[in-house]
Amino acid sequence: MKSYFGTAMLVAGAVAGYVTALQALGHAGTGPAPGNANWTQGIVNPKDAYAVYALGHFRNDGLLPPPHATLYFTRLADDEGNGLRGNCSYEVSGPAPQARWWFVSAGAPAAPATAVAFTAGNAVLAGDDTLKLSISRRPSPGNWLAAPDVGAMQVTLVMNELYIQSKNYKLVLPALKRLACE
Amino acid sequence: MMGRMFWLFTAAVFGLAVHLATVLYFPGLTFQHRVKQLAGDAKDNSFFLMKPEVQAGLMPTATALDVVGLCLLNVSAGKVSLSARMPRGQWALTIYGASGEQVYNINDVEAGSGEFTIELAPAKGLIEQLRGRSDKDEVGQITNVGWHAELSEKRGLAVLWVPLADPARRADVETALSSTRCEKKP
Repeated sequence: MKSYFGTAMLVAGAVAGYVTALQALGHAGTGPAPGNANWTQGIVNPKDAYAVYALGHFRNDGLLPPPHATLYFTRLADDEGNGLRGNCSYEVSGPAPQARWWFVSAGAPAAPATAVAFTAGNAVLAGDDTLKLSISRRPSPGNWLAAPDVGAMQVTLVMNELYIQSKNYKLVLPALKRLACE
Repeated sequence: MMGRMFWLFTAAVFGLAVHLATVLYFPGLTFQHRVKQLAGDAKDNSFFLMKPEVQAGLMPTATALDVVGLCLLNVSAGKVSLSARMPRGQWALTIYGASGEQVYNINDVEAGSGEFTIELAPAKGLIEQLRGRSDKDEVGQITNVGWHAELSEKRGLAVLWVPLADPARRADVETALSSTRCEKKP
């Protein structure tokens, strides 16, 4: 009886250690984006004592962590909280990203290599420096990103080298509204 | 009662060991596997351009429209130099340590020139620092190599990234980046 108890405790300890490690790796390195919790920011703060978890989060997915000069945001749901789908059309709208380079991409969740991207080089901005981008399977006038042939979809926004870095600057991330579904 | 307390304590310590091993070891294995998949038979300390269709699978902040080059750094046998002649426009060089931490970063604005050399060396250990021991080539001479960075581990990854506003520039950019040299210093 005693030997069974010891063995059971060791197995339970190992399982608990493994499961908590996977959970910690899954959640580290990500958090709600500042000012817009619909976006999730992927970030590694080198000054964080637990940065090893954040680094592990990206490396566990076979990915390099975002460089320090780059902001990396993802989302899996629209502004209403509905999961993003490849067969629906969406509008991304908001202030134009204040960065030297940026892109919006859409693809299957956790599969960045399959994503299709719309970059700063293609963007046509409105006179008031706002961005409107359609994500849909059917071509749309203006800025258009062809939605990939996927079920669940992830939208990613990457900004490299922000123009404005003063302390009072507040980052405003674009809204994402569903227009219709096929 | 004491026996059960012993096993509870042992299980807690064992669980902590498993937790730390999983956090510290498994991500590195997964990452190395991915790099091997993408790098193919690329050797250490050699530069190569990634295939556009797979580069975002390693670098999620890049797209298939960008040009991305890699060098698998290995400073276990000494210093490594990376020399590049970058095309006009935006670019960034990021150097990662074996643990994935960013060691060094430079871009076109900071570099001020499209042509640069960066020397990568293994970081000095604590004992070497305390003894103040210098490398042979640092004694009595200053070599102008451009920039210098130290890797705290023996291995690392150098990533050259060039975003393309105009896809028609891809061939020119790839040609320019192909002349990048990443090699162990003699």
